[in-house]
Amino acid sequence: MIRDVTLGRYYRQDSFVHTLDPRTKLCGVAFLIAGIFISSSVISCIFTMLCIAALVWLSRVPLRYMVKGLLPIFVFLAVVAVLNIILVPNGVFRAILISLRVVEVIFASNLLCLSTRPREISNGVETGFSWMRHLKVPVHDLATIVSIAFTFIPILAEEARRILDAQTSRGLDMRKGGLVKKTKASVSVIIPMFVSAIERAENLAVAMESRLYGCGEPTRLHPLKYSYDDAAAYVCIFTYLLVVILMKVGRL
Amino acid sequence: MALIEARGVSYSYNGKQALSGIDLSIGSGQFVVVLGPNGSGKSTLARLLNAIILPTQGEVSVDGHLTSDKASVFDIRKTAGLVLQNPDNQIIGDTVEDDIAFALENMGLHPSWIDSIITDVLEQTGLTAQRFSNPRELSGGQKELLCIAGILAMKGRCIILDEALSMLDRENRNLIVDLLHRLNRENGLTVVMTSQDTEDALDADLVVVLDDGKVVASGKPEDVRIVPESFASSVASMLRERNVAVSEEVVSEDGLLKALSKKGAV
Ligand SMILES: Nc1ncnc2c1ncn2[C@@H]1O[C@H](COP(=O)(O)OP(=O)(O)OP(=O)(O)O)[C@@H](O)[C@H]1O
Ligand SMILES: [Mg+2]
Repeated sequence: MIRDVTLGRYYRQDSFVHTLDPRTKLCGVAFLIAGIFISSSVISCIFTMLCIAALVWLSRVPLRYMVKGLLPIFVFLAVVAVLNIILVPNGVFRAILISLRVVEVIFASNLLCLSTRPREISNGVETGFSWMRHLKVPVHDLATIVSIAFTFIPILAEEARRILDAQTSRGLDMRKGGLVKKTKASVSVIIPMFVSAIERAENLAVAMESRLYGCGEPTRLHPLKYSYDDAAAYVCIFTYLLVVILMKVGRL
Repeated sequence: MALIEARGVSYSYNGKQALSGIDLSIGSGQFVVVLGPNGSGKSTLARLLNAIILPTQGEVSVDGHLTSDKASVFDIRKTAGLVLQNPDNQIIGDTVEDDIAFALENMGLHPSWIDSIITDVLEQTGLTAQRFSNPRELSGGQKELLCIAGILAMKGRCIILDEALSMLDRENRNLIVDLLHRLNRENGLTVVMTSQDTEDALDADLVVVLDDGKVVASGKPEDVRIVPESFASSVASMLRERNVAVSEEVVSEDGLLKALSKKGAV
């Protein structure tokens, strides 16, 4: 399953969504998620879904690529939905609505990752929250952490795969045996995984230090600049949230 | 005055001695190869020269600055950039240009300046076509080139490479070695390279052989006796592969590198 994770992976494309300023996209995702939490009716849920569908279409990321990466999460959601249906009175309707909203949140945040490189996201976070520097918040360091985390998700996933393969070839079978045996088996994967992650982190720290991290006030190769597209996008984002709030107030 | 100097340097990891009594003097513009088997302390030495770690005894100076002097740490790292052993663990950016920009951004340079330096080093390393690629999609040799480019961008006088060649195949290896020699010849860049492979030392100005944390030999390649004999015989077999006639006696009698230069090989 790990092999198929596309969460946090960038999909290179030249689209309207890809070229937006990362700050705009971060704000957009935040508003979408806020909207999803506000909306509790079927109509507003469908409205949100249409908005997200429009964004996916604009981003020109193949839907198949997006969905494939989310498959493990859908399995999990299906289990939750079934439990809801069985255990909660009037569960069918609520279960569907809740699952739908979770799917919306996942799609919205996944679209951000697919259309924005980790460095851009961190750049957006850093520039967007630069005012917090006055409150002694280490904005630059936090943004760097975010970007490294995103960069290393696929690398660590690949590594986990490799270790799993290596242990399997030595006779490890994750599917056989009782709980104790299975737990032991996963330990034999998790420990080497942990060791290698720490080693990588240590190496990366040295690499960053020797490349003058923390030398002074850093600049950016591509300083962020808003364009007219961003203005248009902000208008859409605010309109979306307004509509959702109006629906809530109007009990639609 | 020497560019890099180590005087009586020892280093231990939590009581475990990794280097002891190292004296080293590297002149500006030299091509230096530090040879040694696994665990002999090559990486430790490389990190000491870059002020990543500080000697437990003795002192290291780079361009007149002591590494123990906190105020000059960044000057030292700019003067002598360090390329680590595994490229996968030191690529930070998610495009080639972003990765090269990392050090320059940290230096606080103006974007247009960063841009022109990137163009420069991409040309030097032959990666111009890969400027906007994802570093993870590069070949092993290209990744190594990228790591070198990231250090060259700082425009220091010296580059330290810790086993930069060990994971490469023959072709990529030659590519990197040629680049380093060209930079050394044409730009006067000081190169300090660690390696396990005697072959890398043949064209060096200075060879330093480490074993078990001590310098066991140093000098010009033709004067250096390779002390562990196992080392010598492995190179002898390599030479035979290349159709250079080497007799066992020459190897064990004179030390390998000397034997090589007698034969006029390479
Ligand atoms: N972080 C560490 N903690 C404890 N001991 C270490 C650490 N790093 C290295 N050592 C020890 O110090 C000695 C020298 O290690 P070093 O990595 O410098 O050798 P090396 O010549 O680079 O070896 P290799 O060819 O394997 O890279 C070794 O005995 C090693 O076990
Ligand atoms: Mg090493």
